[in-house]
Amino acid sequence: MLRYVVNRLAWTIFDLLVILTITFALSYLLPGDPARTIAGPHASIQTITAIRHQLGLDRPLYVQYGRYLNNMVHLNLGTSLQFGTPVLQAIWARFPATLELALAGLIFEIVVGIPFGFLAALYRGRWLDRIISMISMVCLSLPQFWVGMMLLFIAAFKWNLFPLGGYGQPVIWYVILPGITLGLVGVAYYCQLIRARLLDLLERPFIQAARARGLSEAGIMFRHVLPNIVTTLITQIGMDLGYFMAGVVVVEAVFGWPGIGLQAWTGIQALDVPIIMGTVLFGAFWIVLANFVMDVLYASVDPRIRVS
Amino acid sequence: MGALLEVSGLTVGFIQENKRILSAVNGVDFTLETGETLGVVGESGSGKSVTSLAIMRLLGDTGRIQSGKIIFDGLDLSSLTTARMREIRGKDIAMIFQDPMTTLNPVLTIGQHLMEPLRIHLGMGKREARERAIELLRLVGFPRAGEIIDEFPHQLSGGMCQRVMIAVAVACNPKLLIADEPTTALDVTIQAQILELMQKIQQESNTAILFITHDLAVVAETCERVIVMYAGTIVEEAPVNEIFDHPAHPYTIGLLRSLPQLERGSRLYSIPGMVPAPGQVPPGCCFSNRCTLAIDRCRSEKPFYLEVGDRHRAGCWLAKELPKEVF
Amino acid sequence: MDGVKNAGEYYVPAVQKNVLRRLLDDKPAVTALIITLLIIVVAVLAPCLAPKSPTMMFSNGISALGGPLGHSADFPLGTNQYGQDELSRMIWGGRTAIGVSVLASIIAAVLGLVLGALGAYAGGWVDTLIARFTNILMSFPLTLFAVAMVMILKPSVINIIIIMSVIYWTYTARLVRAEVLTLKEMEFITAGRALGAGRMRILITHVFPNVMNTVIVRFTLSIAQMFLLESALSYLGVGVQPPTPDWGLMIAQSQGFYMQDPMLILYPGLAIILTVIAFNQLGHGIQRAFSGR
Repeated sequence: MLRYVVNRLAWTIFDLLVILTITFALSYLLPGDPARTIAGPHASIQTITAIRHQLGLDRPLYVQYGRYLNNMVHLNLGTSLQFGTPVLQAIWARFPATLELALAGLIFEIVVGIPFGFLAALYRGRWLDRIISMISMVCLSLPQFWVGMMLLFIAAFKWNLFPLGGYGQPVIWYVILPGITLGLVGVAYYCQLIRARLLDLLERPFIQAARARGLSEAGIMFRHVLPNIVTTLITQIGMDLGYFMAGVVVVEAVFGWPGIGLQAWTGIQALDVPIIMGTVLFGAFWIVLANFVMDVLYASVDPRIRVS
Repeated sequence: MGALLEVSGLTVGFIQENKRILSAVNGVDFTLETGETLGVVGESGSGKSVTSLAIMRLLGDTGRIQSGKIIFDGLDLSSLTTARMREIRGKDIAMIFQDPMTTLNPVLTIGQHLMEPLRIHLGMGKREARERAIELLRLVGFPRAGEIIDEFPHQLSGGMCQRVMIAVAVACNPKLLIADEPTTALDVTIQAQILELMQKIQQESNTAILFITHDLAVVAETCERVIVMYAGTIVEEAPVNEIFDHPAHPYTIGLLRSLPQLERGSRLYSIPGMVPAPGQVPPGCCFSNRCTLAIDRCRSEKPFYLEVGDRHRAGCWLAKELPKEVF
Repeated sequence: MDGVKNAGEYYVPAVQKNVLRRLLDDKPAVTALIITLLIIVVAVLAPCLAPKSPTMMFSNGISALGGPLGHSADFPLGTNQYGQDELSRMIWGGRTAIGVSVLASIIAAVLGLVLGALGAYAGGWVDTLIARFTNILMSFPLTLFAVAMVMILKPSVINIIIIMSVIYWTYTARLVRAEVLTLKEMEFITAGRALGAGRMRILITHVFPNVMNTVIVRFTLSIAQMFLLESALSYLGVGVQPPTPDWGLMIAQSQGFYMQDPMLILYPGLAIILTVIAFNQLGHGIQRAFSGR
């Protein structure tokens, strides 16, 4: 088990390195001159050259790469072209809002998706299953931004139940609509995942053998089926959390949710490359970390990996 | 003394998608005495597994006992409530299945598998159950019982898993053990070990065994009596020696002839045709469309059982006239 | 040579021949197919079908307050705040989106197929390299990345197609790799090699036909996903640019007015949803047809 963890850790670090290289390459190759952006449209050539020198943009490629990596290790993601503040600081300031949204979405997915998945599997083939399957099929096909706008229209505008987007206190009230928007696709996904996994498990011989030993259906569900599902769930939840924390541009844009996604979005419009790349890196980091943690958790729960 | 298990007129069917019922077992009667080993022989599709599942009432959502009685130790199993049936399963009647690797839950330890019936049916506490579990493991031939108990199924070989299954099955000292092709998925040498183990257990606890298999060689070794099933019906029933020496049904004869002979140059015999699917059984005798000896009466009238020897009956119009030595 | 041909034919035709028939017997799949074809036909024939030009701003299409109008005889679906005819825009709206989605899906499918199969079949460090690279690419926050890239490279149809394919090929690659790895172990491959067939031939005759099933299903499903991504990009302003009509863009442009006139986003939204559902159901139908239910 320890060997497994160390091995995974090594690969994770390797992945991060490659990601850093890719982001560096992209920011280097992309059109747009940061010096000019900072200097402004009317600056003289001397000013621009001076700024370039200040930013170290006139050094050879490998030097820039080295400085880049060095910066990363020291957690320096650069400085925002819009605000002049360190990128990491700007991102970190807005991260809690994204985290709140991510948790809201995740909770919604789990609380609604999993039970429906169970129901669909237990009533397989009957009308309840068919209805659930149809609804989840539709949910998977919904554009997030449209759902957000419709929710705002119906629940906030027409029925006045929720605020019209934005962020405030109590956070719960503000986070519900965006959370639902974010999690709707996931609900369908979890529902289908659980249903498929349950059906597969219920067909397995060891379930029939358990029945032959006189176990009740409830007993079978708890002792035999659930432990086999836990692993699937853990992996999926972990990955979702990772992806959510990377910032969800669309939902944050629709609701004006002050998270890292929205900040990246405004940064994109202003061509603030450090913020953009910084957010991408930030997000990638969480995804890679989530993958690593999930792999380890999975291995620790599945005896086939743990004990070999 | 009354038989331990009396099955009479058992007909089992499955509900199809078009809501009609197709029978997989048709009017099966047999008895099993305490401590006896009865072999049930047949190819796939003969209804042998369905019969055992019917006894255990494990037919699933679409299976139905259409008619008949299953009297076990005085109780009519076909009319019991599910709750009552659950008390019997694993405690008075136990079942072992074909592929041991898939019949064990991969995320539970061997110990957890063993302790489950002990705690549910015998109400044992954790420590008591664990001790008994180790005892059981030793009983089935694990000298390292104390270590095995905490291992997982994937760490054991097929033969070892089957021994664990047997241990789980006999944990509560069942009166009847149903073994559905217990050695089919195992190598021949391991097969021998498992059969030996089953015989030992039977002798020590006087457990009756219903041994379901398609392998006549296994039957010869382990069973006292045999019933041969084809297309949901019993076609012949006899003590094991009788079946091999004086088979009285063309199907049984066909099965015996299909066993590879050891002489050089002998060709492999196979019964022409295929086992009919449920619902496509020919009228009259179920074997009539494949039988080389069939006469008109076979095709129109379903044969009743003729006594051809001591506790030996066969469902064939020609049972008494069949040439004694067919080889 | 005959032996190898037989080894290849033994696995493939019995399955492939019946696929089309099975598909056509499958009612939901046929419905999906018809709807998909209808949508494509409408998109292609938009210039002939639309009553008006989708980009022309009609002065009689704006209300006195400068807002959109509801439906009328002249504008059956109403207008938007620029006085443009909603009906015509609806008919035109899927054109670019579908074209982009299909093209991007094709590129992604080809890339995914080649890289996935190559890695899995070659094995060794090639496989590790490609698999690792695939995983890493999938670790990027995709939507954010897509938006960023398109914006920086200037939104144009070509750029959008390229970016989307670069992001999506990884899903196909993963599936293809898993499939090829399984196939590699199958007996008929060993049988082929025992008959002396070279690696290239085995790849082409045996591996590809079996993998194509997965690729085709994934291709259809990815059209649906790309469509959603494209509409999201349009909504954020980095997709199709005005004045080109696009359903996602229509929704974005109605931000200020849809509370009063929800139809402005209801129609395009439903159009997107219908398209996505149709392609998804078609993809699942094809999957069922391949696997013989």
